Amino acid sequence: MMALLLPVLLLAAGLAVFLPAPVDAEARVLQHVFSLVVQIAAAATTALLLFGAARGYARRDHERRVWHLIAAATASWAGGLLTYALLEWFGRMRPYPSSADAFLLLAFLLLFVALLEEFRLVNRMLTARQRLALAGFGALLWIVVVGGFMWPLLLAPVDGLEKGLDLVYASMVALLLPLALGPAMAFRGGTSGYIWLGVALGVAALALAALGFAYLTSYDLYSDVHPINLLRVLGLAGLGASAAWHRRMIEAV
Amino acid sequence: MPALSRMQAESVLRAARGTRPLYDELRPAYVRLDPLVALLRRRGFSGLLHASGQPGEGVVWFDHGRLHSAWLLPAEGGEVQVEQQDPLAVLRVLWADTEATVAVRSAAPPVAAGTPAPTRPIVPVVPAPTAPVAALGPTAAAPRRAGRAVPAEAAPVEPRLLAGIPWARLLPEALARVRRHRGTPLARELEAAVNAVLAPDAVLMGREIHGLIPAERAAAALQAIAAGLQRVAGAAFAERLIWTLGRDFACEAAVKRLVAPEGEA
Repeated sequence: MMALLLPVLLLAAGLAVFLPAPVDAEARVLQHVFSLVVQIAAAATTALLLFGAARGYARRDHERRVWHLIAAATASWAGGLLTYALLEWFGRMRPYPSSADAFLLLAFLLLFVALLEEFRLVNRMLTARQRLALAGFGALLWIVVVGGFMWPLLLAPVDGLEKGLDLVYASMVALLLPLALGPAMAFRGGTSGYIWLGVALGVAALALAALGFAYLTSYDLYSDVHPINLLRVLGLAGLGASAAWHRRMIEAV
Repeated sequence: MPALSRMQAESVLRAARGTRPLYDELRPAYVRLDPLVALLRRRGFSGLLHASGQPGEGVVWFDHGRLHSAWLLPAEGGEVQVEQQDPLAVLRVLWADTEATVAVRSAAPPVAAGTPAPTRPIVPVVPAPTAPVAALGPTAAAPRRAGRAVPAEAAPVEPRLLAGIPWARLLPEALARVRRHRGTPLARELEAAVNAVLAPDAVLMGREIHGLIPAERAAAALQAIAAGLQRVAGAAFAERLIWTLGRDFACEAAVKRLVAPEGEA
C-alpha cells in the first residue's frame, strides 16, 4: 500500500513546489532547490518501484526484462537531472545542450527498447486495424509536434547538435506513446491494460517535458521552477504508480 | 445451389444426433438466431446448429467459429439444398415457425458442400483414461521456453487424482482469472486453445462447459492455458495463477504436478 502512495506523494510535492509563485528572492532560491530535489527524488523512487515490479517475474521472463529496462531508463533520467543540477551549481548558464542530455537520450533509448520489446510480445493480440491506428496516431502526433511547434527551431541557424537534439526530443512522444498504448490495447479488459495506460501516460508526460524543455530553452523561457517540470514529476509518478500496481497485481493473484 | 443426396445427409445427421447436445429443445420464440450464431462464432465452435419444423430440417455447419455451409432437407422430401453463400438463410425460414425445435451439437463439419468429412469422424464421449495423462501431452499451443518454465510434457499424473478435480468449474475459472489480469484478447485466444483440446467431446462457452470432458483432455486443456499464459505473462505469473487456482479448488497437488516447472515435477 505504501508503494502505491509514494507516486501520489511525489505528485503532491511537485504541485507544492511548481505551482506557487515565490514572493521574494529567498523563496525563489528555496523553490529552485526544492524543484531539483523533488525531480531527482521522483526519478530515484520510480526507478526503485520499477525494479520492484521486475522482481515479480522469474529470471528469464520476458516482462522482467521489460520492467528492468524501464527502471534503467528512469535511473538514467535521475542521472541526467543530477548532472544538470551539478552543472548549474558550478555556474553553467545555458543548460541545453549539455552532458545531462546524454543521460536523457540514454533514458529515451532504454524506454524505446523496453516498449518495443513489450509491443513485440503483444503484437499478435492486436488486430491489423489496431496496429494501423497506432501507427497513424504516431505519425499524426509527429506532424503536429514538428509541424506545429518545432519547425522554427529546426530551421533556425543553430548548432547542429542542438538541432539534432530538438528533432529527437520532438519525435519521442510520437514514437513512444503508440508503443506504450499497444500493450494497453492488447490487455484491455484486464488489470494489465490499466497498468500499461499508466505507463503510456508516464512516457507521454516525460517526452512532452523533454520537448518543452528544449523548446523553452531555445527561447530563453526555461527555468528550474517552470511549471513544465511538473510534467516530469507527473511522468515519473505515472510510471511509479504503474510499477507499484503491477507488483501488487502479481502478488495478489 | 449444389445438390446432396438425402440419404447422405440423413446419415451424417443421424451420426451427429448420437453426440451429446450443447443445447437441445430450444424454441425460436425464445431464442434469437443472430445472437446465438454470434455466440457460437465467437467461441470458435465446430459443429452444427440444427432446426426442425414445418418446412423441414435445416442445418448450419460451423468450422472453428466460421460459417461453413447449410443444408435444407425439405419436409416434402426430395434432394437436399446446400447453401454456402448465405448459410443462415436456411435457418431463417425455420425460425419463422414458432413450433420448430432447435439443437446445437459438436461435430466435425463436412469437408466440402454435401460431403461428410471422412477423416474426422464424430467421436462419442469416452470414459476417463486409465493411462497417465502426460502420455498424451498438451496441445500444440505450448511452445517450450528455456529455464524455469511450464513444461510441454509434464510428469505422469495418477488418473485418480485427475478424476477428483472439478474440471467443469476449474477451467472456466482459470480463463476468468486470465481475463481479469491480462484482458479479453488473451482469454479468448486461450479459450480457443481449450476448445481445440476439448473438441469434439465438449465446448467451453463463457463460464460453462457443455458436454462431458474426459479427464485427460481437461488436464491437457489446463496445460494449454498455462503454456499460453506463460508465453505472454512469464513462467512465474502463470505458475502462481494456476497454483492458486489449484489451491482454491482443493486440488493443489494434482495441478502442481500438471503444470510444475521442469525438474520439479
